[in-house]
Amino acid sequence: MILRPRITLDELINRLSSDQEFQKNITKWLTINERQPVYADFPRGLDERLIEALGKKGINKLYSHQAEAYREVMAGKNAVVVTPTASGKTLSYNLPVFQTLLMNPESRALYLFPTKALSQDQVKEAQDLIKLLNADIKSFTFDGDTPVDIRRTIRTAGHIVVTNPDMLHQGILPHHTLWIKLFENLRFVVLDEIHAYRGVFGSHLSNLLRRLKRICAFYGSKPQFICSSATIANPRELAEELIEEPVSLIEKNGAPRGQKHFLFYNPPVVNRELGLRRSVVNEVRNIVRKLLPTGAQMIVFARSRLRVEILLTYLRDVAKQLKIDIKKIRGYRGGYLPRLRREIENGLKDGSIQVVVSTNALELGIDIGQLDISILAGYPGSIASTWQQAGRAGRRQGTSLTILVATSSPLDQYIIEHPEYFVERNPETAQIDPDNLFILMSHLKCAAFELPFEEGEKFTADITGELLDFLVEENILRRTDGKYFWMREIYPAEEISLRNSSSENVVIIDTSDNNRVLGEVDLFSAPELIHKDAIYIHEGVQFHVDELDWDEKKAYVHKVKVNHYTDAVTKTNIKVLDILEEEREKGYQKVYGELAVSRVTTGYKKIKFNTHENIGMGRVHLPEMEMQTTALWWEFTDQIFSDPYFRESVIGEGLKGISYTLNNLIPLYIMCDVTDISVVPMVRAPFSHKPTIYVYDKYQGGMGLSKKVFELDRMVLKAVKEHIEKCSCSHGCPSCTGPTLENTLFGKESAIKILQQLEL
Amino acid sequence: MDIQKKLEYYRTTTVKEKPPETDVKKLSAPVKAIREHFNGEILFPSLAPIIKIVRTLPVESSNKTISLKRLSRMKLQEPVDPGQCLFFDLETTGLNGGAGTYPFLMGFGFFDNDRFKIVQYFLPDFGRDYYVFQEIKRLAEGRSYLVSYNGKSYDLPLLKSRAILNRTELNWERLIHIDLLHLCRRVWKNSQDSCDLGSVERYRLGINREHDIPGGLIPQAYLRFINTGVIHEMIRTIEHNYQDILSLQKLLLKLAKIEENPRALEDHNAYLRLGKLAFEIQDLEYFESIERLYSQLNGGSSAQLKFLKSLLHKKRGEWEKAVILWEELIEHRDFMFPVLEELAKYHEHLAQDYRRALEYTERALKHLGTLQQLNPYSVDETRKSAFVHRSQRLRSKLS
Ligand SMILES: [Zn+2]
Repeated sequence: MILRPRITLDELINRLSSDQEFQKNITKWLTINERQPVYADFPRGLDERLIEALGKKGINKLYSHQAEAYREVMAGKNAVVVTPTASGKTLSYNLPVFQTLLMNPESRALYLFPTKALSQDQVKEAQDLIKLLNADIKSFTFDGDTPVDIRRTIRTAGHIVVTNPDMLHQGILPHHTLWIKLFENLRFVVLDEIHAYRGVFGSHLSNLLRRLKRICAFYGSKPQFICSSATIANPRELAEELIEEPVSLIEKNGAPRGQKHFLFYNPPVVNRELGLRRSVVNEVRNIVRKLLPTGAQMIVFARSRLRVEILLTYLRDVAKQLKIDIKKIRGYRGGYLPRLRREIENGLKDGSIQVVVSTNALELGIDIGQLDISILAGYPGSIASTWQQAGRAGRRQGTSLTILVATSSPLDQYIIEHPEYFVERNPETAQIDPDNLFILMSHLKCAAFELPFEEGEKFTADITGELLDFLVEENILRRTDGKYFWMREIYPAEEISLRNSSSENVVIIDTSDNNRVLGEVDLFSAPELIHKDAIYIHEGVQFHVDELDWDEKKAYVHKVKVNHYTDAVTKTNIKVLDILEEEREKGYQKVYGELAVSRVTTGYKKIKFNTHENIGMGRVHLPEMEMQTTALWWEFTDQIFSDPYFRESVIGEGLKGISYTLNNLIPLYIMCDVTDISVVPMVRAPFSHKPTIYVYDKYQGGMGLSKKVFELDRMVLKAVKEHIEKCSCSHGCPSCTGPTLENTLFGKESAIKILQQLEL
Repeated sequence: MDIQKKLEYYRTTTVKEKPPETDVKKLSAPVKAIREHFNGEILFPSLAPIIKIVRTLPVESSNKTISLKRLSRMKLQEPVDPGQCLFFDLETTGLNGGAGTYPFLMGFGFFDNDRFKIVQYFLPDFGRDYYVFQEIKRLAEGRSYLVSYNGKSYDLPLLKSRAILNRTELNWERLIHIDLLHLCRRVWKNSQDSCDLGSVERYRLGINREHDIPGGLIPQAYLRFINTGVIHEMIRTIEHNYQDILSLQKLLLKLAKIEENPRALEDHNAYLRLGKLAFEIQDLEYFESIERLYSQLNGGSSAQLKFLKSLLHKKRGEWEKAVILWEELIEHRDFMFPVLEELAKYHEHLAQDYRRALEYTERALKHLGTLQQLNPYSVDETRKSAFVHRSQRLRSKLS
């Protein structure tokens, strides 16, 4: 092939739109029009020094959302600013903060970023502004890497302290007496990227903020909160749940946007009956082969580290064939050394690197400039991250191109059929449950360590007193003279991780790689996922579980390459503990309540890939796991099964098919992983004996996920029905009702028949 | 489900702690028993009982001032009047610090003419520290020094933190804090495995505590006392703290003697430490006296002391003396490379004898080459490249 000269992105887009072979796989070519900026003047009263400094940066007026944020915050309100990438989010919170610092140099602000990597660019931007302002404002990052000798300076002299929730939790709040200057004068808390605070992490954060506010109150301060969020369905609701105060929503974005081409690419079906499509890796290789000679700079996002490495090898082969220097194609992921990462970031900025294959590590926060094209090898799992990955393409106000290549998973297939989610409102909601007893208790202990509780003091709702008395009974607190004192030798924050709901996990150790720790599995799921002789799949690689040491909470595995997977035989018992809400609908009764779920794994089946033949089985002996959690369930009425077609086994297959699809589609409405919820079908539920499907949160005490499904249930069921109906397979496949085994040929049909009767 | 049921379930899922032995919440009887045991006094009896225990014992006279100038690395320029010292040590509910760590026993000591007085405040329950602050502020009045063991990083910050939590101020910043741990390390770091107070006491003061409760067990012991009201561990803790304060006083005087005359040490490891100290404070006269003591004890100086001395000479611009020492050390395994580097630098920049400078440089490179053949990883690459660089530069200067 001859190297073609560099062409413009517009020319490239033209060429793609007339490429017949390419067009065959495009299910939707979405063009999102450019948008003109909406400006606002600098607000009256804004400090002259600030106006001058911004002028030096070439900023002579604001975008409308920045001005609106300024107005709301300066009026004393909390605010959440909803912003797409590259739309001047940082200035939305820096402006009121710097104005206040200039007016009152004693003031302090705390910036919280969900991860360390995310804070880098924002800190740089604040530092730049400080330099231009020529004012005595100091901004410091305080995290695990901060040298001990400058910590003291940061504590007393830092006007803006940049940190992450983990550090606030373990390093700052338990030592609040060292931070007296900060807490006495704290005016603002900036929470960036709050959509990251969902599920367990968000529930922890909400409690962490309860602790923060309690400490501030002790020192006589009451900070305002300024939040930013990606586009999700419920930014204000999330912000208000996190900080437990009213929040003003700022969602009219004034930043300009160039024209965006968003292509939905579905790999061709290779086996219609089984619903198998060509692999994403293969398709991405073909697409890049087309694009590489044009000289366009692109980023390819892969869902795992392993995928990054595989794609990198493939793409370098392509480059070799095209006689393009393979050094222009680089990988980027967690685990690379910082120096190497900086080198790649700079290579992207100066153009010496043409293609970078990355995990979501490059999704945001790291400055790599703007590239021409982003290719998503598989749906990233949420619409919010899809936008963030797509946002890596597109030079300022210029045209950009994003290609989303779908896998065979039900969620990918659903998304590819429904591009409207990218034009209309994002349906994803972020859910938290700050009153999850397990999380709440952890923070109540930390809070008691930080300051004794007064009798009658409120930490949460109206049960604080009861919880404190419980901790007194457990000898963790001592109640004396009207106060509750911490009375343990340990430092409670040390034992509590903000990223887990329970402290107990099983650690997976790879004996074929120097006993490297591969990952962790929560205790509840361990018996079914990593029992002895299970095939555990991690980032696409198969591992054989040699031993599960239950007492030590360790699983020993080694790498294998076999043509089967294992499916655990588990028995689930569900006991309804309490019914909190119920509603009658056409064809079913929906219930929200509390369950005790117990699961015992008794054995496993070995199942051959592709054909799904059962090729053997085994037994295991593991303890029964119990969990009390919140759930939603649908109890179907007998009428809908009056057709003799519905033999008991057929009902079972239908419910199983619906459950498989549900499990995969719920993350579209509630930002979570498929592993955060569990969907269990039962042909005869205990007590009611009715066909029932349960959806429960896979966390002790619940996480608010099934509660939201309860609210949205008809929308979710409708999506499930449409998705199964549309799938091109004959008897169900991994993209709809799940892989078909020899004896489950009615799954798809039965599922459709059941759903059709619900009049969704 | 109601919250009580949820809590029952929560109890079953959380890691079980040992249950309390018994549950005697009324503390009045144990408090009385401790007071009687030590013949103490109950402060604030109706409000928040605290036991104050005062003991005195005769000691050598305190009216002679002492010097700790060198051992304090010149921080204590003026002579210290022991009568101006307030010795202190805390016992707490945790060893990691943090706002929830509670100092339940605060011990203080000071000279009172020819007697040494130890005052301890034992807090038989949580939330009593507020009341002690009024007392201890008074103890510091009219004194200029605080003396502690590791108090700079532990006890004093903890006390300050408690003051903030109780919305009061200590204002002890005006006091000069002598942390004896730092001084002891400057003398005995190489002489014993650990410089904790127990080891220093045992080896240097000849004190062997009997029936002592180890410091690490004290937090648990207090929590047990709160739960059970059993007093014997608290009695041992109060004695432990008493002994700590007493040792601080003895140690201060012991260190003053070492400052005055190190000969009494008779410990070559300690002499090496003091040699390092003398080098750090750049006191050549002191250094030479330490070196003499070392030679007398060991029948000769040590390479380490020679090297430090050479650097001292270099700092003072006494190059000939430095060069003589470097030449002596040239064959010494540990100092060969630094000494060759110093010699090369001296001949290149001061004597401007490039040929000799190159000789030393090449000699170093030859040794490095041999070492590298024996073990490729044994050679410090930055050191090697520095010599290579120097060699190139000298060659170009010579040509
Ligand atoms: Zn299908």
